[in-house]
Amino acid sequence: MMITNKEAAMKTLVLIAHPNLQESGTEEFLKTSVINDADVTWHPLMAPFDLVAERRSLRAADRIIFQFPLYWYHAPALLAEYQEAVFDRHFIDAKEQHALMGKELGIVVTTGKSARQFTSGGSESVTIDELMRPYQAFAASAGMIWLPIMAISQFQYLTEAEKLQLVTDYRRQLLQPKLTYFDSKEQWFLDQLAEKLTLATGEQKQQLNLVLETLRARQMERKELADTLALIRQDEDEEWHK
Amino acid sequence: MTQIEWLIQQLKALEAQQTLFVDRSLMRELQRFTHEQDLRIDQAKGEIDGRMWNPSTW
Repeated sequence: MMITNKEAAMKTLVLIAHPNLQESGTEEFLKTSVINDADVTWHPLMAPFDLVAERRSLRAADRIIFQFPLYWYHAPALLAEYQEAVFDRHFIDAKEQHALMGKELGIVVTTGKSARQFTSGGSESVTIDELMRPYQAFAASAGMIWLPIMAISQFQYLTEAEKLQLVTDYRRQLLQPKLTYFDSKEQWFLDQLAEKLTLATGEQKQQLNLVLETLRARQMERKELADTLALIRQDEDEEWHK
Repeated sequence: MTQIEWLIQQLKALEAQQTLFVDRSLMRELQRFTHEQDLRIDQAKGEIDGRMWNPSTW
């Protein structure tokens, strides 16, 4: 019997703003990473925009990702065109709609320069977080939850091992609920394994099942230890304040 | 062989069996995650021991 604690599947809409999408190896790689994920909608932006269809896609999503290469310290013009065409006061913050309220907004930005350069002491003297601030302001005004930014630097120089890591990091960025919580990360990995188990056959199925059961037992052990620790800390705090 | 060593060995074998890059990635990252989970367990045990043996709270 399979036990899953999987939450209701989260729907993610990825809006890609790239002027030369066909020629981008990075975008092709990212697309391939999520090609089998039914909960991800891969949506390259193309002007002119069909307002009704675009808004329908936005409403259907729980998590919205703006994905683009960094061009002169901001997104390609296509994203601004999309925002101007699709978002208006009535849709975003008018009392009757609040269409994006409670949804999550995330950024996946690719850069030609290294991550070290985008630090306060780096050669760019500005951080990616600072450059993305306008989108954070937009998220706040739309009542959205702002996610940690994912920056992919110098994709062309990544090793095979780094690319393997990137695939799962990217899938988590798109699909894992509560991105910054270890509990949620743990559950996501176990859910992924459980999903693989449903597709496996023969010896591999047995192997996957054993691994999954062991990881679940360790999840339980970890949670029990965390609960015990929380109780001890609480007792100590109460003792301290007596 | 410890349980962690066994888990990593199994995940490595599973990684080698995968034909899709995305599946290989998952099995690889599960190894990293397993180490991370193990560290959390170890640290929690250590902290519980440390706090239980704290003479100032006896």
